[in-house]
Amino acid sequence: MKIVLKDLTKRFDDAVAVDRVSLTFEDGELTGLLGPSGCGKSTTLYMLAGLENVTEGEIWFGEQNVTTAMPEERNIGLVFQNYALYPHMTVADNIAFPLTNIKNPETGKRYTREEIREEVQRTAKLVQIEEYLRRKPGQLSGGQQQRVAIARALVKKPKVLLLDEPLSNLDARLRIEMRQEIRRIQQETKVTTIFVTHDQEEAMSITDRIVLMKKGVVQQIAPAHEMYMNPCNEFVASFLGNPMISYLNVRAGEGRVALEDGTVLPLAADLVGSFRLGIRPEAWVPGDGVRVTLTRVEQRGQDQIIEFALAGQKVKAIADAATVLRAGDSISLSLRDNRCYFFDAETGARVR
Amino acid sequence: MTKAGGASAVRPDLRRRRKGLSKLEQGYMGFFLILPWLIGFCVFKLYPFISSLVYSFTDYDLFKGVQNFVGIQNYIDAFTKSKNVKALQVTFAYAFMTVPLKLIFALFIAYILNFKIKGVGLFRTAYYVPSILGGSVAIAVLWKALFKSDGVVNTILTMLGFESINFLADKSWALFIICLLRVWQFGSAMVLFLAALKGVPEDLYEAASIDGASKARQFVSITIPLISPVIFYNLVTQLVQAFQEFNGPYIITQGGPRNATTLISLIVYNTAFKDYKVGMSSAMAWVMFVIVMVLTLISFASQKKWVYYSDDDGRG
Amino acid sequence: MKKLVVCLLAVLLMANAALAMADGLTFSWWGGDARHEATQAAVDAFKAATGTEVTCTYSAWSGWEDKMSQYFASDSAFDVNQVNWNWLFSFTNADGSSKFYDINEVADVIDLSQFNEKALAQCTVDGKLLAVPVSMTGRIFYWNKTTFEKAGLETPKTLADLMAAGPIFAEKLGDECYPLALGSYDKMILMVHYLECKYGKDWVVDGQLNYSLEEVEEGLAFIQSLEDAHVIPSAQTLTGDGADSLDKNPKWMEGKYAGIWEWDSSASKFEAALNEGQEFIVGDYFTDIGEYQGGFTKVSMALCIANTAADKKLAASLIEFLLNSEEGARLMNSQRGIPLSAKANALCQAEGLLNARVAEANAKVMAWCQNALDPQFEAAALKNSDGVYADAMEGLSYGDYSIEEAAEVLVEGITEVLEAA
Repeated sequence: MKIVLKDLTKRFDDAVAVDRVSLTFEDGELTGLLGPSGCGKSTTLYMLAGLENVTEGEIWFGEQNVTTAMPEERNIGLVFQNYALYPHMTVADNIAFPLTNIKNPETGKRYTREEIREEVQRTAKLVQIEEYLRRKPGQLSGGQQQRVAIARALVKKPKVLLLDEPLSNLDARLRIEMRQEIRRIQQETKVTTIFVTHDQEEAMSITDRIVLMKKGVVQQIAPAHEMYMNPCNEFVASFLGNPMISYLNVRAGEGRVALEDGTVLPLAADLVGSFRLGIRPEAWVPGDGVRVTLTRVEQRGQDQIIEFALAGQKVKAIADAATVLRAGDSISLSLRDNRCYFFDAETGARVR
Repeated sequence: MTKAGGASAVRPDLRRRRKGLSKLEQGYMGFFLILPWLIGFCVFKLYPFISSLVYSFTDYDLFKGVQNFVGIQNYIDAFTKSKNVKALQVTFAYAFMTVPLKLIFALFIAYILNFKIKGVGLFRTAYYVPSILGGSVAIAVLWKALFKSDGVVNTILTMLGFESINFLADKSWALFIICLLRVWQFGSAMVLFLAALKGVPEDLYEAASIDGASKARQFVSITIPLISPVIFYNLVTQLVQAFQEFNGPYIITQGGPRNATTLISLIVYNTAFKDYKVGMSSAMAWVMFVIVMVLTLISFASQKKWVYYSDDDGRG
Repeated sequence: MKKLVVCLLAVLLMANAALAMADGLTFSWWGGDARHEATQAAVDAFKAATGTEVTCTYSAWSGWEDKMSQYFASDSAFDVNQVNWNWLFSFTNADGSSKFYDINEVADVIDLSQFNEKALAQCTVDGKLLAVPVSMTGRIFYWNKTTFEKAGLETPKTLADLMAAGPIFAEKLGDECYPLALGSYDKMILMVHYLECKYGKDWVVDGQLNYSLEEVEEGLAFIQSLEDAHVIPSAQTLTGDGADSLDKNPKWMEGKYAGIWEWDSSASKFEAALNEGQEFIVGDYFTDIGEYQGGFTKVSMALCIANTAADKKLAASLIEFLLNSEEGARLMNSQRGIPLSAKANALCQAEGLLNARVAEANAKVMAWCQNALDPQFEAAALKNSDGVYADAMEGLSYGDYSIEEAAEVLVEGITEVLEAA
């Protein structure tokens, strides 16, 4: 189901948590709401769920304006950050709970016990926890609990599935496994899914599109690759990518780009003026350009992260692992200009 | 031990001087320390407890002393003499009226006071105060004055256009006002419920809301199970208290009208101190004890069915 | 540690010994405030005169009998006690011996010649004088003249007057007002009075009920007729008033209940309870009930020495002071009814210390009442609020019992108590 937000705003006393956000979530998409703490992503999610009141603006589920609808009327599934499973019920009862409150859309009457059992089985199979149906949540591991939470959210075949930082409580390995699971489940059910995260890697790995927010304002909406390659401002560029993009203050003119200390960078540009140049770590390649002395080298196995200074500013780059580099080494580097971005020195908006 | 052992290798004479007491000495010391409590317990609790059991099989008269061993005659009388049977009926009626009312009321008010409303602290205190004062004789006397035929309650009833009710002289109403006195003291149970309600995580309600549950459903499916340990505790303690009720009937109705409020406790008192039949009275007291114990055991046994403890995940 | 324990024990022992050696008396009584004041004053005078310490314990009647029965049963009673007459027969040891000391043994301290034979006889059991009678009392009508005047009536001189007053009260003063109010025990005594007036027989003779079932039914029918004729309020109404006793009932105080049937010694209590502007008068006995002068007198209360008293002679001297001495008589006057002690009586009369109403009532009672009273009449099982009399009378008024059934309950209950005695 298509979801449309129109100028959605949330104010707490004087503070604005969500500032005139207008978005469209297409049917069947998996969208990530990404951003640092306090950017308004969770608030937006909870407004979508109906657990937070909307100060201004509208929320449309398909043809319906649900801005003031109660959570139980919205037919959504929500997976809480700490799962909020009912501790006194078995897993099966947890999953069945939503069905006991609503009418079966096919028959128009309340679900019978048989129907409930079938649905629970089906959903449990979907998330792969059939063997744990008799257990209570307290007896399950984190990952299992999350699957139960997802099952409970999906059992009523909602039009929208919302997840609030679903992976932040899991350990690193499990996190990777579970995010794939979420993707798989979403693909199978084709339900419009929105999940909130602060982890850019997570967002990039499984979503169809990312919505990046900062201080209540949407910065950019784009598929992961696009957002990475084409950040619209400094914030977006800084947020995605590990190691982070490095910035240099530069002056451009006469087709050349030079640092403050006069060093010319191996980059062609037809801009004129002062800019902040953002350079992705992978933009640096061995070649003729500038000669740098490495201040630090970090081994990562598959590559090395090297640090050096240019005109007094720190730069991080990724170098191939073939030759082991060490601090103090002097190397010659060139740039790939498709990984370099010019930003306005004051506004941070992308210029080129 | 090792210290002494180690030292003894070098200085054998040090071996004798232990710093602490031997196990045996520790035992004696411990016994000596709890002796005051033990003496008190044996003299004031254990001895009367056992003697009352022994007396219940005799015809112990307050003045004449123990004369005969009558076996279980007292117990037979306890269940056959119409006075006693009536008292048992009245006590059960009283308990099964009071306890549910009190629990429901306490939970209801606790639920309301759980919301953040202005002055909620004031209300909490106001509702709690009766449970501290209530059991006293003074309040019972006040209660009687409230419900007499020209008392405050009847004045209000007539003001509202109803007929005045002779609470103290009507057999059903009299028991009800005794009940009401106890139910009015719901504050202590309410406070416990309030604490339990606050212990239920907020996001469970949010999840239930998303799952389409109405507020009523949420209350039944989430709140009640999660506060069930406190419900259980209140149920058992209130049940025991209800069976031991004495002040109310003694002061307000003296067991009347026509024995409609004569609870077992009153029979125990009257039989002993007015009829001077201590043996019979002891038997009645023991009957009361056994009844309460059986009810408590039933409650405990039923726990498994409906009480949820957060550390019990069905493992055993 | 051990030293501490030994010290503590020593202190306890010494305190105990000190208490035991305490040279003093303990004295208990019940009554209203006026009686408490008067008695305290008398006790203080005793202290001043003899230098003996007396520790007093006193309260109202409600619950007092229970309390005292426990003290006596556990042999921890006070040295000198004001006793209700029936206690002399109920408070016995397992072997049947009494809890009270034989006053004859201290006849050298207490001047028994001041008391008349009949009164002393009532307090004598198995040849032992168990207590010294303080006063004799009997029941009589008291009327609130003011209320009767409001209804346009004279206070009742005959039963016919009383029966006629019922409907008139209802009509002229309202449903709430009654010429007479009776509690269960009051009803019982009035019924016995009625029957004794009609038949002249004592209620109990030689430990057996002297009236047949039919006669008892007659008595109950009489009582019921009072209720039916709006002469007395129903038991429900009285219970609904929520008062512990008639003198504490606002309806008496306000004059809505215009008459009582009470002991002569209680006259002052009830008179004092009336609100301002109401006239309290002593009634007369009805001559139109029967040919006989029915009704009994009993020792209202007595002073006894408990068997557990340490110094019996000292205890006796307190009793002698309170009842027979000039000062004692003066201070105690008629708080316990008209004193039986000839000396005290004469003194109070001469100095005008007797409460006029009590004196008037007592004189009438003594002149009228002829019947004897069996000590078991006031046995706890019969007289208490959950006893036989209350059961029969209330059951009748509530409609739980028919007259026949109530009579059965009464006769059975009384017979049981008489046989157990």
